Amino acid sequence: MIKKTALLANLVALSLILFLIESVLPLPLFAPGAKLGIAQVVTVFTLYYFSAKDAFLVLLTRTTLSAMFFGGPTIFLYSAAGGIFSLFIMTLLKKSGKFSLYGVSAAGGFCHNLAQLIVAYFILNSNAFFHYISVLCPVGIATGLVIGYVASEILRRMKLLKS
Amino acid sequence: MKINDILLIIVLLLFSFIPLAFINRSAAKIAVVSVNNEHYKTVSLDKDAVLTVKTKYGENIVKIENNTVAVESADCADKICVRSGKIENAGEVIACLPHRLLIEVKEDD
Repeated sequence: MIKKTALLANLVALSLILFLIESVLPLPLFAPGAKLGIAQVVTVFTLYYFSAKDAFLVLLTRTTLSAMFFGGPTIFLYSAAGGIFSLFIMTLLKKSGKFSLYGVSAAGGFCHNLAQLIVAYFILNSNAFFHYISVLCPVGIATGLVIGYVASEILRRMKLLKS
Repeated sequence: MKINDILLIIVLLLFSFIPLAFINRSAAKIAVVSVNNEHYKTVSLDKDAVLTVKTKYGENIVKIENNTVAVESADCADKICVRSGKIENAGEVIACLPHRLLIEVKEDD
């Protein structure tokens, strides 16, 4: 239990570092506003290695801390909405047992961007954001696949270490 | 990767492109600038102009040129608005979330 708590705390720290690295090095990825979201690797990893509950705890701690360190309440709203909605959908898809980590992660990326656009719609009160769904959601699928690949490689190696 | 994953991705992609069906091009266009959800200024895309949007959140220089709108420079941290480039079709937007600025191209009616 203590070991697990320590590991989860490490995962929070790791995802914060990934989040920070990404905000310092903004990759001009396909479209403005699009990010690889490498911190999401930690969420997907925790979801598969531990459980949905642990992934939720890590995610919530990470978004709260990153908002306190680098962002603000608005940034928190965006990243929390994206993170929580995508984790919720990923948990459902994983539980259904019909999809592999790649499909789950791709849907996660899709939902992450979709939720952020919906929040943008409510904050800025403009339906023009629905037009941007066609740009950001496919980007989310692509980044989700990349994240799925990284997470699956990490899980493969972790399982090798365990045995 | 399973067959189900590929099907899921195809369904999600199709869903992403639904909003494109609701966008139409043509007609005279205007750019509606709003800050923190409140209307700031409406400008026509016909005439080239430079608009300085200075609010308590920060400053963005908006440039209208050849029927396109772009944020030329801004003092925000992420510069996503500047990197959004030029927009010209109704429905397109440039947002500067740190400054709560939103530029929308609409059809003039």
